[in-house]
Amino acid sequence: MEEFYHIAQSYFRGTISAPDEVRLSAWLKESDKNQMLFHIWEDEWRKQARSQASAKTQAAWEKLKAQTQQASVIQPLKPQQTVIRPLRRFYYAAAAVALLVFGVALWLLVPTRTGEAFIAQTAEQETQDLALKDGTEITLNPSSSLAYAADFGKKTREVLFEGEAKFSVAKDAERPFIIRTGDFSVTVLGTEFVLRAYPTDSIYTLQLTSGKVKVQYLQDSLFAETGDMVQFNTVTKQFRKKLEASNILLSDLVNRLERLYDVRIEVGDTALAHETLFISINTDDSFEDVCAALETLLPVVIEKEEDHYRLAAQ
Amino acid sequence: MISTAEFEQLFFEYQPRLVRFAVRFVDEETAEDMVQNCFLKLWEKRESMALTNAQALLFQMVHNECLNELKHRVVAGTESLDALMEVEGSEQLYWQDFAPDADAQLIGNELEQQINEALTHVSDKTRDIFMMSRQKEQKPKEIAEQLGITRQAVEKHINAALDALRTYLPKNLLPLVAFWEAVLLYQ
Repeated sequence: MEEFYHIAQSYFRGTISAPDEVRLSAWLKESDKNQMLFHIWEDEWRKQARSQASAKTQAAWEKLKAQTQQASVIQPLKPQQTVIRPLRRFYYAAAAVALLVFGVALWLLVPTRTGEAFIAQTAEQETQDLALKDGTEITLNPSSSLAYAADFGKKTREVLFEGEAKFSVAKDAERPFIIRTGDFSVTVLGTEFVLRAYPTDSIYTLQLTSGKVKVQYLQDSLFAETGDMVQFNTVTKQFRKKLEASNILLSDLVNRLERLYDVRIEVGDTALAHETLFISINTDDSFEDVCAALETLLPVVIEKEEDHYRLAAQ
Repeated sequence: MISTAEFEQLFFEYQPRLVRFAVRFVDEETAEDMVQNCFLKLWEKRESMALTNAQALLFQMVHNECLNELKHRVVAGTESLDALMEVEGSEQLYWQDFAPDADAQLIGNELEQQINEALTHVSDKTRDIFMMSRQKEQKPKEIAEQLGITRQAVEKHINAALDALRTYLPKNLLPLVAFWEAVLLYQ
């Protein structure tokens, strides 16, 4: 296995020999597990590609950069066209094929050596509970897979994931738990949530039960906290945050709203503060919209005072 | 829409293996230039492109550039056809990586098929003589002796075949729209 790890590395670096090409190709065809490993290694390469670029690639990039700058000066920018449709990366198809493991799930434990990995996959109509060595507990829902490199927990806690799962992540401030699906990632400090990111989904969703997470797509990121639902549109690459809470105390909700909209809200009636409600708020909704929603849900009125808002029973 | 950061990441991630792919067919300098051109084309189209599958598109572009270069060499007649079509290693590997849902279209096979098709426009005799010269690397004089015709007649046949190749060997341009449709079919 270590041998193929090195062959794969030489493939990513463009230095693979002809005989190794033949061997790597055959090895990939051998099993779904091998393909999954290949993707883990590729993910590792993806992160280093920039910093470990050869002098030749670096020089080629400098040249290309000069050319693109020239091109953009000469060419007028074309009007933006609509995105064609959600296209998933090809290799997810391979991973989907890999899910054709019926009956029992495949839970591979491989000795810890360079380039080796743990892979868990669930078939259709199957779920699986996983306990990771850092104490994190994961319930994989059907047709999902999770993989991580053998050095998980040493310096970092990173997993590759696709599908749907509930995560209860063990706290470890020094080693954030990172879940990656392509270029989309969720960084967790210790919390509980459900993530849905099937390769075929055009919208990934994360529903946070407790704690705080950071979701990221390339340079774009946002934080989510208890009760938040985050959606990531894989076509437009845009995030959307919703505050979704069931049985939330009005006093807690008020706290959340104060932070979200940077306002101060005074609750006029202590009995009112103990009301619980179910609410779903788009964070790009205006504060006025939220007030209007609250007024229809509860027998309350919200009035603007000089420097704050006052919520009182009707 | 591919952002500048995404484009840079794509380049560092895939440029090395794309160059390695092209090196099997052309010399290293040409390979680097080819890949460079493909990235430049992608850059020009980045406004209308989705990042997903950009690498499959890049691979298809590099693949086409290689095929075109080989066609050019067939017409120029600098190498035997067999030498052009026999490349060590595994082209298949790159297909598995870049377009696992598609059937691998090996460049040698594609070239052979297109040559055969182009040569249906000449007589059987012309085609046979051309193949003797290009595939078996026989000299015009040897072919002439073998067939009992003059050397000039052999050269005439070869030139007629080359004319047909110039006319009928299609250049593999990258019809972007067609490629996207193809990608959709693979889904």
